[in-house]
Amino acid sequence: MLLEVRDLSVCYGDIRAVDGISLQLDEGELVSVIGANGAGKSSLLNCVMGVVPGRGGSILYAGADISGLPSHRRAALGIRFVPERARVFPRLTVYENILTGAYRLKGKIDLPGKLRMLYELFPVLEERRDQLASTLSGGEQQMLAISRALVSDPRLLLVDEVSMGLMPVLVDRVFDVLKMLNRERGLSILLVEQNARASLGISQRSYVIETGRITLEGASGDLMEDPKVREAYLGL
Amino acid sequence: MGEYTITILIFIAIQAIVSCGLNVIVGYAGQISLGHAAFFGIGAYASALLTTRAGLTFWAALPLVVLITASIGMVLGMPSLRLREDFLAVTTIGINFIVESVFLYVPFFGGALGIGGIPSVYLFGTRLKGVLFLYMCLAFLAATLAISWRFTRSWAGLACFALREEETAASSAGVSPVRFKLTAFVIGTAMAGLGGALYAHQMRFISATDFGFPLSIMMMSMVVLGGIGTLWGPVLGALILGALPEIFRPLVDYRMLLNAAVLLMMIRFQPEGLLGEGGLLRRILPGRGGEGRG
Repeated sequence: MLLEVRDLSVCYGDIRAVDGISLQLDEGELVSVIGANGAGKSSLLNCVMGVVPGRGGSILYAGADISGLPSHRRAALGIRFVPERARVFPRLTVYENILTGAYRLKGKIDLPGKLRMLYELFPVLEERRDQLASTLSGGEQQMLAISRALVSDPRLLLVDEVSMGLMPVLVDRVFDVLKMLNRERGLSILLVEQNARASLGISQRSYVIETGRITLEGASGDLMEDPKVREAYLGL
Repeated sequence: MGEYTITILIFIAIQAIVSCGLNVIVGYAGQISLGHAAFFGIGAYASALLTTRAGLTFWAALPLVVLITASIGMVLGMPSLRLREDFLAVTTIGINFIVESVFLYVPFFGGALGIGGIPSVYLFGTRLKGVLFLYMCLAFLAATLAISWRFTRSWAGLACFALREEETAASSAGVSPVRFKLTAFVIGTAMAGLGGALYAHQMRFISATDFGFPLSIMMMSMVVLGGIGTLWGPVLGALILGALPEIFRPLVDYRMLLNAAVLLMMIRFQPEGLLGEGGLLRRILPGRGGEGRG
């Protein structure tokens, strides 16, 4: 088990955004968490990354409890995050944005090789290498955020609402990349999405969350056939 | 150059050094500090005490002065780990008032009388005064700029920029907010300490009111006017705000009014500063000032 979340809650004041969620992710798995806006998906992921504090419960990563660690220490353990709305560094260049992901890894990773791999994946980033990240389109910023995470050669990738605000053709492109990374490179990915169709399509297993609790879980293929999921999330 | 002009230029050079330090904290790391004069004062008092009471020379005291100021800077930088923006601004103003009061009311620091009899600076047996002192200040300014430039090109600099832009994204990329905010405070306040030491030995008499909140505002104005987060911005700001009162000497009664007018015009028309993104001088001097990635 690479990641095991046990009975985790996240509270903002009196509001309980995540209410006792447990989930698992095996090494090499692509797991998606789907749910409506405000269901607590992003809070869950932010808490796994250590950006917001959890209340109760535990987060086990590679067998060790990481729930007390600050986010940069979790990053050092190989967890990387593609935040909602990309959160690129607007006044740094594309290249510098990617470089921040490799912070403290100089010497440990093959940086030129990694950059070649990323530019192959997203050629537009090589074209815009020296442009400020603020000049990129929303889709390009998502690609940059993914690259910033991938350059470190992570063991677990957390992806938060990567499809938000992207045009459909770009959504497909980004999901294809995530699928390829999982299938061909064996990257473990925890994906949080409103776009249920796309994420069920590429993940092996999924969780459905509603108002902070898990209401359904199972193989993504089975969930796609589930009448409740079809009606509530796929609009069928 | 007349002696008067040299004195003005010495003050401009010193303020440029201190503003460069503020720029590291505010411009590069994005941590608002409205109490920078406190560290300028700590440097000045440390050098004054070490040279008058402990009998050290300026050169022997200087490394200690920088060390003391930077250590206090690191401790007083800690609020930035918990507070953001306006809260941090108010806290740093508080720090400025506290430090000024300590100088004013603790007898060890000379109280309201301040500290006098600060020795001149000698180098190889030559007393550095007038234009020689100016050259020394310019050499220190050059060193300060070199360190700033080097910082923007380092991993630590990149980490600070990332924190300034998006703190949570930076920390989830492995950048420790604690380490790099404090790094910026250490470097920035060390520069303030250096400037303070130069100031003490130029004035040869210092007192607490030299390092009050209005000076912090003046330093912030220099950084903002020149171009926050640019390499040369603080120097340009120090030059303009240091020279304006002299040029407009006949209008001395309206000096503060003019300063305020200049700042308001900047905020309205050049929010990134003269050397910042889209700044007036940035357009005239292509390639200049861009080093800092404002």
